[in-house]
Amino acid sequence: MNVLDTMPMLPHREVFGVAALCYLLAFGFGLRSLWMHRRYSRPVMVGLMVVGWVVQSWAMTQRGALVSGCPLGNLFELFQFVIWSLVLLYFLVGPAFRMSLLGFFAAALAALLGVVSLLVPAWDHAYRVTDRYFGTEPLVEAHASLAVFSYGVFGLLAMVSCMYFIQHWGLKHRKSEGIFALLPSIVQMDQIAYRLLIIGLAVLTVSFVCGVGIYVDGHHAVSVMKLVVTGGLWGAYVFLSLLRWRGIYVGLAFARWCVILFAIALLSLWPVDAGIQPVTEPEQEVQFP
Amino acid sequence: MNNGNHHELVVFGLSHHTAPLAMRERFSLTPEKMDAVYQQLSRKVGIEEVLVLATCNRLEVYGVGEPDKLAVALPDILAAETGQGRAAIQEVSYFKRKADSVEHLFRVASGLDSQIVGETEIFGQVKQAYRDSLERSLTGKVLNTVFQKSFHQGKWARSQTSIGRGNVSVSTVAVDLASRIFGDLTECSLLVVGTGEVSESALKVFISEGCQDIHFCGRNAERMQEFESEFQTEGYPLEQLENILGNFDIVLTSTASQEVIVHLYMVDKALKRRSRPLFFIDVAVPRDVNPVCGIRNQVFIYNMDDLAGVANENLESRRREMDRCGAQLRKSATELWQTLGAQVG
Repeated sequence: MNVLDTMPMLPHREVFGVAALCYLLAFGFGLRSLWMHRRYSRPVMVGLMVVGWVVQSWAMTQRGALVSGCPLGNLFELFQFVIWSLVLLYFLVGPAFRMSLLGFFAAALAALLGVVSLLVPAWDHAYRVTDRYFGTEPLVEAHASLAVFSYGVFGLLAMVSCMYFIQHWGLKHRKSEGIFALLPSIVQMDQIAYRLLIIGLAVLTVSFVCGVGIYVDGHHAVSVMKLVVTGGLWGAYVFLSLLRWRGIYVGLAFARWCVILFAIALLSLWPVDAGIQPVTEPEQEVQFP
Repeated sequence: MNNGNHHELVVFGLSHHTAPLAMRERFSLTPEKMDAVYQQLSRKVGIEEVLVLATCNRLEVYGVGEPDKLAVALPDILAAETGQGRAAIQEVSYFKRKADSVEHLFRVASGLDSQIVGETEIFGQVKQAYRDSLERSLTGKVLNTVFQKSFHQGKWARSQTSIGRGNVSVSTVAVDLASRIFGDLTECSLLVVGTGEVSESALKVFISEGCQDIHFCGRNAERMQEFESEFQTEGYPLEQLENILGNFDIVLTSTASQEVIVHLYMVDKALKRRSRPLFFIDVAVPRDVNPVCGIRNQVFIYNMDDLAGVANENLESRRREMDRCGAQLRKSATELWQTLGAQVG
């Protein structure tokens, strides 16, 4: 058996921890400024996020090198890829959206997911590289990475929706100081949320088409549970976008469903992970320098 | 003026300090009722001078005469003309005499006693009330002196202190709130319901913020023509409000109607035609918009008390300046009363 046929449980976890710490620091820095009713320094916020993202990218690259493909072999890696995607998306679309506090909320979600994923070592279980198709099947790799990337987009969408909740609550309860004065308008957030939904749905659809192609090809077995959950999620996002397009779900109702669907998307990672066979035999584990 | 009796300057009334909005609505005066109050007051023996100040946040009568008679007559007349019981008005009112009444007027004119501390609209309202009383020949030496002095004090407070720093008018607070809902106001449509001074002032503020799609709605044909020519925009009769409500993002209401003019069914009808939020700024007293409309997620309603609450959220930072201003007004009031006291008492 090749040493790369299996992956040990804990390579580079400390490095992922450093990345999570950077996101946590960014969140704490933003929180401190908001607590003092001040706008935070954007260069400091973006700087911390960039450091975290670069560190995380390095750790993912190291893991990717081990498996010769995208490191998406267990729940921990799936979470890390979602975090990596949402932070990347924040860097890409943040300046275009010109949305204050988006960095703070992106840092909050990245820190939360990062810390949670590190708190459960069992999620970072070893898996058989031979059971996977990464590095050898581009369509499978595109399908998986695009699907998880879309979860990153939906994560950012959920954060924009949370910002919407806060501003909406402030307006309804006559609050105007502190965070309420700094948040964008609810109309702007609603429009940006819709755009993020379209971006996420487009990415997920491409992934879905790749997945259907793989399934029709018939070379690889797909668990029914994974098919139902991910297909259902895609259908739910399509349905939500149609409701939003027709103006049936707007504002608070739309924001509420964006958060609910992201929670479901995160839960859907378990059926995805269930399809990956964990290593049980000790002799299959390898030591990394 | 003296007729051998002891005369004093007093003020009797109620304001946002003593009565919530729902209570103030019950004591609002229409122009007809205002005439009736003046007629009743002018007929009372023992009242030498009188002035009624009625705004959406206060109803006050300044009188010069025998204090005992004023203490009885003023509540009785206001209770009778507003249709409320004497007990009801006593419960939410205040009665100040001599230097205290002068100080009170100074604080009112300077905006220090306003619901939105430091707002400037009250200054014009005090001037207008003084003009009304003057035209009715109901002012005399005392009221002329103290009101003229109050205008000086009001100007001093605004120019020499920073009590008015930040958002200190209904219109500017409304603009801030509209920005939190819609962002860029240049793409917003505004409907102003009512053609009074508050509407006019709000229109000007929204225009200065870049709001271009502006319309208004009212009953007074003459004022509507004035609005049309001044703002170069289209006016609608009030009867059409239900049908046009859905076309607008921001609806500012400030009519003198004694009844609600925007009902829940009208809002529901409007929401069916739009996906954007609907923001009501209801500065009328009594209120024009049924508060129950706020149960809809896409509807935001801010009345006078709400706007004042928002404006005064940063009150603590201005507290020291308010104290400085208040102390100076008290000193001026005492000095003036000492000068007048010898002539009045």
